[in-house]
Amino acid sequence: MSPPSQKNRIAVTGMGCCCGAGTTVPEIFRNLQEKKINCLPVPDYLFQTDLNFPAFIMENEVLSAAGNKLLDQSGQNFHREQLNRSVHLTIEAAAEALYDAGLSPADLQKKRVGIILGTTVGCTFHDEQYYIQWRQGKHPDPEPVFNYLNANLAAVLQAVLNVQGPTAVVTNACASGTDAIGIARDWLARDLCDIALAGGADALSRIAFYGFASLMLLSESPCAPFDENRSGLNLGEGAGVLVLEPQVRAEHRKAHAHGWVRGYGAASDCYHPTTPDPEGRGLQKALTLALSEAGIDNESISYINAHGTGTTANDKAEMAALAAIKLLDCPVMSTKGITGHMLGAAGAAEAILTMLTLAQQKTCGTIGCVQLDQKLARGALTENEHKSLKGKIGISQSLAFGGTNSALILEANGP
Amino acid sequence: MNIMITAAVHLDESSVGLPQQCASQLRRADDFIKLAAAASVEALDMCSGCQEPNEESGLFVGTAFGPMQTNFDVLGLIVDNEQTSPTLFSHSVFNSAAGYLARLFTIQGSSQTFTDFSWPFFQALAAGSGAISSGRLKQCLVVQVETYSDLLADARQQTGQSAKPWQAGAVAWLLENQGDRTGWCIDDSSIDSSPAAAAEYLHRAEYLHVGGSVIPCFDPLSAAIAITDLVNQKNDPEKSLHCEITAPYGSVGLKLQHS
Amino acid sequence: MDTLKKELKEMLVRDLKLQDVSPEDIGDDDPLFEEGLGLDSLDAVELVVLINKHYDIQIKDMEEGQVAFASVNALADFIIKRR
Repeated sequence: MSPPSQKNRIAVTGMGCCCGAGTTVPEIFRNLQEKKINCLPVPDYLFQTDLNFPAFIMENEVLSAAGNKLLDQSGQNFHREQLNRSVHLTIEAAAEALYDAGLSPADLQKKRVGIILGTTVGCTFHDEQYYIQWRQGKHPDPEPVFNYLNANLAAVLQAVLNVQGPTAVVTNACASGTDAIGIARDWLARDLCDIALAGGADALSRIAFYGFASLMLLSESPCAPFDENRSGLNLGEGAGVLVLEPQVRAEHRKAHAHGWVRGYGAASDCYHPTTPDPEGRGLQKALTLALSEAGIDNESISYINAHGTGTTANDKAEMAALAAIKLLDCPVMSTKGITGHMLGAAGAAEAILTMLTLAQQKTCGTIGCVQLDQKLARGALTENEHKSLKGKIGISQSLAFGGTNSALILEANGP
Repeated sequence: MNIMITAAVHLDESSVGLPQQCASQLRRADDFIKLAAAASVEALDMCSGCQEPNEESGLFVGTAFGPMQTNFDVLGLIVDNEQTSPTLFSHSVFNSAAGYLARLFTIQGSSQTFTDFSWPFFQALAAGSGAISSGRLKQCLVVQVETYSDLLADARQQTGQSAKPWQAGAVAWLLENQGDRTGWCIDDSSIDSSPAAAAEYLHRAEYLHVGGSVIPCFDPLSAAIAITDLVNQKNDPEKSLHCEITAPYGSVGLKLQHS
Repeated sequence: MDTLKKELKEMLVRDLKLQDVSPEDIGDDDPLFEEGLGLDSLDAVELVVLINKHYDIQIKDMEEGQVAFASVNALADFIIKRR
């Protein structure tokens, strides 16, 4: 029985995730502990490339029996090939999250359901064959255009579940997933919906791959966040979906809460289109806002899941921000060593991994970080370090292109 | 607390010239970013007596198609096996405009970009006014910008939807706590989205019902432009505006009160 | 060498879309980044692509780039050495 002050907290009652590190939440978390790095050359079934940058990718077919079942039950005759890969990833993660929450689509249809998902690639038109034919002056069949118009992730999930309620797609680049969860929390606190599905999805796209390569941000080896020899990030793909509802509603239907989203903060660097402010000023502000909303101080933070991409600029800025606001003592690590950077899905997957880490009360180190960069403003765990956590409240944070920064304060439920 | 619309502007693509102070910071920018910036400059200039943007100011951008032409410019380089331009790629990311605006005007609070084929402006407006009413922010810029693309125009034509070509443009509103000021305030807003056939997003049979009139709005910016014009009407303004926009993909309700 | 430097200055102004600067305004030894021309990190990676495109020279990391991009003189020297 939760204390009265927790009644209006926003509980996480379901979590679903799929990415290069695994196709379910337990598998991904297990592979994190076991340091299973699945960083490989981009397979042909995604796209052809001569560029030598490995990525964290999933199998060609991302829909499991559960994902397929969720699509089939909609009764709307969705054709798999008309739904892009980011949609497939969303459905797959949503299926796991709903199962975890003990909710069927029929259960949701009795409620106002908010759906908010982050993406970077999932909202763009990237059908190369159509584009090439169009450019040549042929008039290709417009089906790819219709598929694109039918690919708004939140609209598709709403249609699959046949529910009503507010929907939104957040396109804040690398912070999208974190923002989606924070905004969902706001929606619930303002009673705009009874329950929310929040997260993000991004398939690995050729445009993003070549784009990040042109920015010289990709590493030719598995990424090494916070390492003194770090040389860039690896892209990844996947989706993460969380089921959020007010604690009182979760208790009413006897749902188990993995934990709670205690606070959210977002702020801008106002510094540069692609590079973070070296002092991490926007992140400092986002963290301060999130902590204030949660009503807690630095002492209460037991763990930080960093954005930790493995680029020189990000890792430096991120640690500068933490040091500036005196978050100096709790363990910090990055999980991108097993997921890669999943762009719009990153914040969602990392919120899930943060919740699980807090629940188990210990963290593994940063996979890929062998020799910690001593010039960073504060330390992070190297890959062979493990730490017990002093409490169950932690932070998951994201820094994005365009200088936008977001942070979530998450609290895990007891074991 | 009342959320006041302290400025409301709309621009079309012919307005893609910028004041000198922005020109050098936007030298690399594409039309999507420039149009967003031009509309934002005008909105901020329009509101005399408004606070300068700061850490309590936020930015909410809504778009249906994003920087679509820039996305194709990058795709063109890739399919031609040419070197990808990092500048072009950065600008093809949907929140790039928001990043530029935040830096140009020092908007240090939350910056969010929403992509929605149905109601992009109203999504951003709901998020912005929600942020002020919940106390997160004291001020926000709400912007919709669309620059479309040649591919989209051809697809519209091919599917018989090109009775009127869509013109690139932007709408920008500034929202603040009303305080002692007189003006239009947002009383209530609602968005209903429902599944629709893809062609409806190209056809856009939107109708704005307001004050006994029905105004057809046949492109993604029209409804926001029409309401902007109503808000700016100087001659004998109404005391309240109850707007309802209906479309095959849902509806929007917006109640404004002049006080 | 003078032709190359002229070409480079024209490329900088044209392809980096510099405002209120003509190629003739750029001194051979003027710093390109920070003060001087005031280019930033996005210009730097764009320059890597431009040098590859126009001169077929690949710059693999920005440490190399930082030295090469110090000024028009440095860039011209770099291109001549690598050709």
